[in-house]
Amino acid sequence: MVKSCPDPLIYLVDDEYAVRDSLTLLIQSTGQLVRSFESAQDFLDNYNPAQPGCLILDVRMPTMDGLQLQQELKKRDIYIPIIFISGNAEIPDSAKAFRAGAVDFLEKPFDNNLLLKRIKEAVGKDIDIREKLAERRDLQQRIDCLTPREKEVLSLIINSHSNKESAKMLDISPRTIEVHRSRIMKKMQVDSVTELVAMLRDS
Amino acid sequence: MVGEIREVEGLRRDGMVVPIDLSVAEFSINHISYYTAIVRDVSLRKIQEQQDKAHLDELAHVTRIGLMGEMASGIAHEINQPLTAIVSYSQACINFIRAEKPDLAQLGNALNKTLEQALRAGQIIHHMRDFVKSKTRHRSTVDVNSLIQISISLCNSDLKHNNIIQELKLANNLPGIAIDGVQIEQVLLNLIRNSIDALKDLPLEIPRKLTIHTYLNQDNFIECRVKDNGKGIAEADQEKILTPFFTTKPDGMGMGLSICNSIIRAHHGVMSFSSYPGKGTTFYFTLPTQGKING
Repeated sequence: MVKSCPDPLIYLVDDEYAVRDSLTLLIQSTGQLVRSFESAQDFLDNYNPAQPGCLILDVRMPTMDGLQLQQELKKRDIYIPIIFISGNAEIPDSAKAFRAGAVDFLEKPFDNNLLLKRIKEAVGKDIDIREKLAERRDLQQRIDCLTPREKEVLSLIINSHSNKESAKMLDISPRTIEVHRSRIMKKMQVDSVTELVAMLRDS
Repeated sequence: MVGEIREVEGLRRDGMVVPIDLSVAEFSINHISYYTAIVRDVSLRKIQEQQDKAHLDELAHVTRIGLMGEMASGIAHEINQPLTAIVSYSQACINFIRAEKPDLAQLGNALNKTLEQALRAGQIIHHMRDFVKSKTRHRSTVDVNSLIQISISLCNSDLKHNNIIQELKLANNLPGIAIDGVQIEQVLLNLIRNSIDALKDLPLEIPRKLTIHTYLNQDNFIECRVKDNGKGIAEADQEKILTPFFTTKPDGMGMGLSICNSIIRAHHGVMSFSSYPGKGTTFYFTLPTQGKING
């Protein structure tokens, strides 16, 4: 499924001006879009979920620190990949960050080539996540169009029951099963049972 | 001059100049005024005082090195910030140069910023070195407010990490005074760090505030107050808090405040505090603005 995506945007949250300014300049110098924020709250107020990207996040900040923001994003179902940057990489912090799915945890000052590499990976990851989510949403929409009876038949099909078995289990005629089956295929926009099973298994 | 003791210099018969205390008393008999002058050679006391000062300088130096050790991680964090910026600015410069038509204005701008950050990192290191360097120091004219700014900047990362809001109310009419700047800074750092310790256990919903206030008091002394709204000092501990080796901290030596007290006294000032358990603590010290400071 190919969709036209807006250009990725790199978000940067660090309370230190010099770090924000220099990283912004660096990322811009590689031709990427970047937006920086002084605080976690500023980022939350301005984050645009429609645009793919990643988040470079300082660990130690007043009011809401990086790890707290990571938890807050989870709570809000925002799955933007995060690269942590930290002035003193304490092991408990980095362990926490990784457990919650961070892409990396870089200790300041870090090798910028490594950062740029991680940005690329993170953006790729975000685009993947978005495609998967879109596919799943799409699939869910199709499933939502099925009637309760069709859903029952669908679950029998994916559990590899034959028409005959299914008819028996639901106490209806094999002919009716046939009708349900063809409607399901149409609504799910597939040509064969194999395709249908593959589609549901992948998600 | 009647009734007060003056420190003057006297010449001994062997030609040596010695410090003497001179006091004059007045009395009258049958309406006639008489004066008695008492002159006392205080060389011995002066020597004692100097030994005391050397001893204090030494002790202050040792505890200062310990203090730096405790603060090392926070200071490393402060140095890492400009270093990170330098690395990123330089890489951006390299990228600019590689462009087909390098934008020289942009390049120059980024290089200037690199320079600024390098100087900033250097300043922190210079300062650290001055702080631990020598034990015997000369007093020089110092602006107390600038000592406060420096002390706060060294604690910045701890303040930030613990969500402490700092408020500086620094009077702009303070005269420069002749003090040992490093020792007074040591006092300030001790007080600020004690406040951070008192504040960091506060529940999150209470805003943590550190206020530093300077002003010229009515006796023409500079007065400095370091105030927090932390957990306060338990009443039973209050009378012991300034004595050596008393500590409420699990890894404390109990030297911090007692040295601070000695440093302030050696500067002919006074240190004191008021604390209310559950409400907060204010430490304050005074420093004379003229005269007396020459020890």
